[in-house]
Amino acid sequence: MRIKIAIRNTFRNKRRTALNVFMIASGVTSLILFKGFSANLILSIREGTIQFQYGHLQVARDGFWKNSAETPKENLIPDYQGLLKRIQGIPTVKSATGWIGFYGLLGAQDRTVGAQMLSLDPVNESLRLSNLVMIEGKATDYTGGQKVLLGAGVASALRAKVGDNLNLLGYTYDGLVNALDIEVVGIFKSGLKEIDNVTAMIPLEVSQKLLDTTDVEKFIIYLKSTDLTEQGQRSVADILSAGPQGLEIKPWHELAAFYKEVRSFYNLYDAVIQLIILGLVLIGILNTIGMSVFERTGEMGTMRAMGETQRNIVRQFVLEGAVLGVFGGVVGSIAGVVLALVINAIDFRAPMPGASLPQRIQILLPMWNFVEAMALTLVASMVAAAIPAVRASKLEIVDALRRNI
Amino acid sequence: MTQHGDGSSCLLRAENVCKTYQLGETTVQALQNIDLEVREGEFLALAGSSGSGKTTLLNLFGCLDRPTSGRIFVAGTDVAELDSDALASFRAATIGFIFQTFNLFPVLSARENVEYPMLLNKTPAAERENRAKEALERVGLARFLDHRPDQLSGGQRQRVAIARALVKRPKIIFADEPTANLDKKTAIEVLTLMRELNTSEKVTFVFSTHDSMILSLASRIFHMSDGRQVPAPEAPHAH
Repeated sequence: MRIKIAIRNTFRNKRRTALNVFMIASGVTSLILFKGFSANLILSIREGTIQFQYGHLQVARDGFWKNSAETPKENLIPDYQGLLKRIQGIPTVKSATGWIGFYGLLGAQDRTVGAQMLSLDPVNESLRLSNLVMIEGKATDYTGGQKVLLGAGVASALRAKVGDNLNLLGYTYDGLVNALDIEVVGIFKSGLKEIDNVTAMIPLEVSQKLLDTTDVEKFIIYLKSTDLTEQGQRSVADILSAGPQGLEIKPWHELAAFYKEVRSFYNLYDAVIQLIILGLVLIGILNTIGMSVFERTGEMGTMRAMGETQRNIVRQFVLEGAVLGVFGGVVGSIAGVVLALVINAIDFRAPMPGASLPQRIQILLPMWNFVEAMALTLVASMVAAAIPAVRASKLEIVDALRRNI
Repeated sequence: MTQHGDGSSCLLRAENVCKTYQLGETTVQALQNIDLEVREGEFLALAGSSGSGKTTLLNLFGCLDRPTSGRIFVAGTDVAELDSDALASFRAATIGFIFQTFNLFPVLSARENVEYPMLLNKTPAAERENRAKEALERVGLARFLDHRPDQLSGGQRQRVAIARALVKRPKIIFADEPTANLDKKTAIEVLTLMRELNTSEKVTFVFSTHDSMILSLASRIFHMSDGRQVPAPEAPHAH
C-alpha cells in the first residue's frame, strides 16, 4: 500500500511532477549521451592503440622491454618460425607475425628525416594494413619487397610522394652502417598523430636485410577480439611453456602507457561531468519537491498523530522521490536512445586531440551506462526528497497539524 | 488503572497539569493546574470558548504534546516515560483521532483512508480491507468505499474520519471540534453517530466543542476557561 500511496502522491500535482520528470529525464539523457560519447572515444583510442601500436599480445625475450635499447642483439628471437606457426594455430588468434623496429634515417634528395621503422607484414597484418587510411597510394600496392609506407607527417617532412625512391640508413645489430633503396608506395594516416609524424612501415624481410639478421625482436599477436586478451594470453603461455625458454608475454594494456594515462584522465573527467549533471538535477528538483513537502506538512502531522514515526514519514517521501526518479529515468533512457540513434545516423566528424583524422562522433549504448545513469539520478531524487522531509518531520506534531486547512 | 465504584476503570488522568507556550517574548499559560479523570466508556465533552485550553488538553491526552508540569496517564501509562517512537506506537495501538478539518488523505479512497491506521499496526492486507469495509458500513457509507474525499460531502468525510478512528479498535477516541465545519443538521447526525458508537463499540470518547446544542449529547461536561477548570455556567432563570 505504501508504494501505491507513493505513486499517487507523486502524480498528485501533474504540472509539478512533469517539471520534475523533465529535470530528471534531462539528467539521465545527458549522462547517457555523455557516457556513450566518452565510451566510444576510449574504445577508438584503445583499438587504435592495439591495431597500430602494440597488437593484443607481444612475445619477446625476458627483459626485452627493460634491456632492448642496451643489448638489442641478445634480445632477438632466433629460429622463430616454428613457434610462430604454433601460435598462429590458436583458435582465438587472428594473426601473428614476427616484428622488428629500429630507428633509421630516410633520405630524399636534399632532405633527411629520422623515423621509427616498424615492420608491417602485408600478409599476416592485413587487417592492420587495411585500417590505415591511405591519403596517397593504395594499400594493395604494399605487397612486400623494398617498399615503404610513410606516415603523413614523415612524408610531409621529406616532401615525398608515391613513386619516390628513398634511401634508408640504419645500424645493424653488430653496429655497422647499412643502407637500402626503398620505394614509397603509400602515405597513410593511422588516426593518431604521434604515429603519423614519426613512423614508416616496411616489410619484415626488408628490416632483416638492412639489419643483417634472420631473427625477430618479438611477435605481435592479433586476437579475434580485444575481449579475448586474457584467454589468448593463457593459450600463448601454454605454448611457450612447451617451447623455448626465456620468452615473456605481455598483453597490450601492460604496454600502452599513454592509453592508460588517457583512460585515467577520461575517468576523472567523466566523474566530474557526472557530478555536475547530478548536482544540477538535484538543485532543479529540490525546490519543487520542497514545495510539495511543505504543502503536505499538515498531512505529516496527521500521519504522526495516528502513530507514524518520523523515520517512516521520511521513508515515505524518499519512496516518492524514488518513484519520481524511476519514472524520470525511464523517460530519460528512452530519450537518450532516440537521440543517440539520431546522432549515430548523422556522419558528423570532429577533430580530436592526438588524432590525425577527424573522428566520427558516435554514441555507444552499453547497458551499464543506462543502469548507472538511472541509479545516479534515482539517488539524486531520493536525496532531494529526503532533505525537506527530514526538516519537516522534525516539526512538533501540534504545529504540523495546524497546517491542515 | 484505577477502578471506580461502578466497576469502570480510569482511562485518562491528568494530575496538576500545566502547559505554557512561548509566543515571541510572551509566555502563554494554556493550561493551569488541571486535574481530570476520565472513566472507560465515558462520552466526555470539554467545553469552553476559543482559547480556553480545550485543544491543548486534548493534545496532551492524545500524546501529541507534553505538559510543562504535572503528569498525564493514559490507560495506566505515564506518558512522560515514553520516548518519541514509543509514543508513536502507543498512539497507533491505543488512541484514535477525529479532527475538525477531517484530515483525510486526498489521494486515498474512503476505504484506503480507513485502512491506513491498520497499515501502521502491520495488519495483513486482506484483514485491513475487510475491517475497513465493515467500519464504513457501520457509519453508513457502504456505497462510498471507493470515493475520494473530494467526492464526499463534509458530513460524509467526517464519517470516514470516524470510521478511520474506530477501525483499529482503540481504547479512546479524541475529537477536537469534530462538528465545527459542519452545518447544524449534519453536526447533530455526526455527534449522534459518535454517541451510538460509544455505546455499541464501548469506546471512550473525549471531544471538545463550544456549541451548547452539541454539549447536550455528552454524558459529562468538563468546563474550561483561560486554561482552568471552571464550574458549569448557571442556567438562565425564567422571570
